[in-house]
Amino acid sequence: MNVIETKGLTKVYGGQTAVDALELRVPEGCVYGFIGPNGAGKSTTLKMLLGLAHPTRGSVCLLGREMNEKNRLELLRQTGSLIELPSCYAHLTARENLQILALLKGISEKEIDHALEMVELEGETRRRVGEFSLGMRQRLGIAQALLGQPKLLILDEPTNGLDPEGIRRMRAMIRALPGACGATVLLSSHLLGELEQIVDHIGILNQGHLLWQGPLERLLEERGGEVVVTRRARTLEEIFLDLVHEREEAEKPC
Amino acid sequence: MLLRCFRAEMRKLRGSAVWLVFFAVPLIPAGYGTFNYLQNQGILSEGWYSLFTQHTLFYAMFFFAPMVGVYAGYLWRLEHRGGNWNLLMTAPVPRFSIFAAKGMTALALALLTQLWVFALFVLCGKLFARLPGLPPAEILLWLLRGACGALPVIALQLLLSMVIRSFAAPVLFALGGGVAGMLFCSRDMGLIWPYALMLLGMNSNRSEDVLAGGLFGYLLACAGFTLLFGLLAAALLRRRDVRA
Repeated sequence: MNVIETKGLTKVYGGQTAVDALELRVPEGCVYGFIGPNGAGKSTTLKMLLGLAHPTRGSVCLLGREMNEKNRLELLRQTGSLIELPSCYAHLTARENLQILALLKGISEKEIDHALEMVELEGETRRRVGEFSLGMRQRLGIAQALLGQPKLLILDEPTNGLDPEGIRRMRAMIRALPGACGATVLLSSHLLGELEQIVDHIGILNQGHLLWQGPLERLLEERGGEVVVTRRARTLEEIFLDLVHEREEAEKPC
Repeated sequence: MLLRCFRAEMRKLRGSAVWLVFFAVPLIPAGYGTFNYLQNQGILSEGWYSLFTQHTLFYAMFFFAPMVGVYAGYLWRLEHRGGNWNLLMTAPVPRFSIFAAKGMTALALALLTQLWVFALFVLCGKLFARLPGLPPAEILLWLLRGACGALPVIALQLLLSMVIRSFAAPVLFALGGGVAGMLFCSRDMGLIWPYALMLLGMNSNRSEDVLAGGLFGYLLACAGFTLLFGLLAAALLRRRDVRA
């Protein structure tokens, strides 16, 4: 089953098409990497999935049901997200921030301890979030997304602004999520080298067009690539550039 | 769900700077009003009622509406500054509940403010004006009625602060609204201007009840404006894309 399925999903801002007839298919239980350069339309797509932006055309299905006003709350209850920067109330502690979200999600405060443990913030009981580093805030953002044991996690550039150590920790945490809580993860990033170490499915977006999607293995097979760790063959970045080039060639007038 | 949202809003106020405004600002009109009363005791001869006219003259015109503006602005500023719009709008609660919960929180703050103003009024009356006994109960009723008049202002200020990311602009608008409210009241047109309703309800600068016999019209105006601004907010929340 596809946990996310879009049909002709399109967003036009003031005459500019940010996302063009997107047909996204995210299978259950995978870590799906949604990659593309800055301005490709990744965040806009994620916002449309969550109902934060209204599609100009097309539809969104999450967890087998159409995202509409009737189903919105039920679907959001089963979805955790971190879009753009992590949200927080800087004058409160991490626990107090999660308490607010627990109230909104209507879940027990007992889950807060578990979420804090998962992101290794359980020791930060007294410090206000305003004093947190960006890495700690990102981890708090992940804890917010994890609260309520969602079936689907949507994370937009969760490693943005992190130092190499922070990126390593975040990567390990995300990789562990499907096993730890059984969630499907949709993860966007423009750092291709980083994503290929985490994801098992991939969708490549450029200028609002989905150039390719499917299992990472298949992409590497088809395109003669290899996971970058082995340093033997073409990287995902090179494959991405190929795909962009091919599309540009195809769109050139005869 | 609305109650959960309200509890979440109240929790956001823990240790927040808004309490400083809550406690400090009413001290100014109380001090100024008491000083004015003491300087003009020859003309102001109606005891507690006279002291009330002096306290509310400045408080109602210059302070109450901006304070409500500060409460509303602060509640949205928390969301604007923390990039919390995405978090709020992906929470499994109806969009309008978020706005309504902020309205309930601002109303709770306005009610508490009125009680604090009353406490300062009694304190000044006893300590400085040396007035006999306790103030008439109807003065407390006027203050609470003023809080009812604050409802449309809360709805409008929440709407403005939701749309305008600046904190100061809606508060300045509230200050202008409060001053204009006095003009509307002086021309017996208070019911058509939302900022005048809190002045009318509070019986500001009057020792006789201005709403005697006209309470229904007043309540209707409060409800009408609140509904209008609430519906506008609901439409905006439903139709606009979220900008964090």
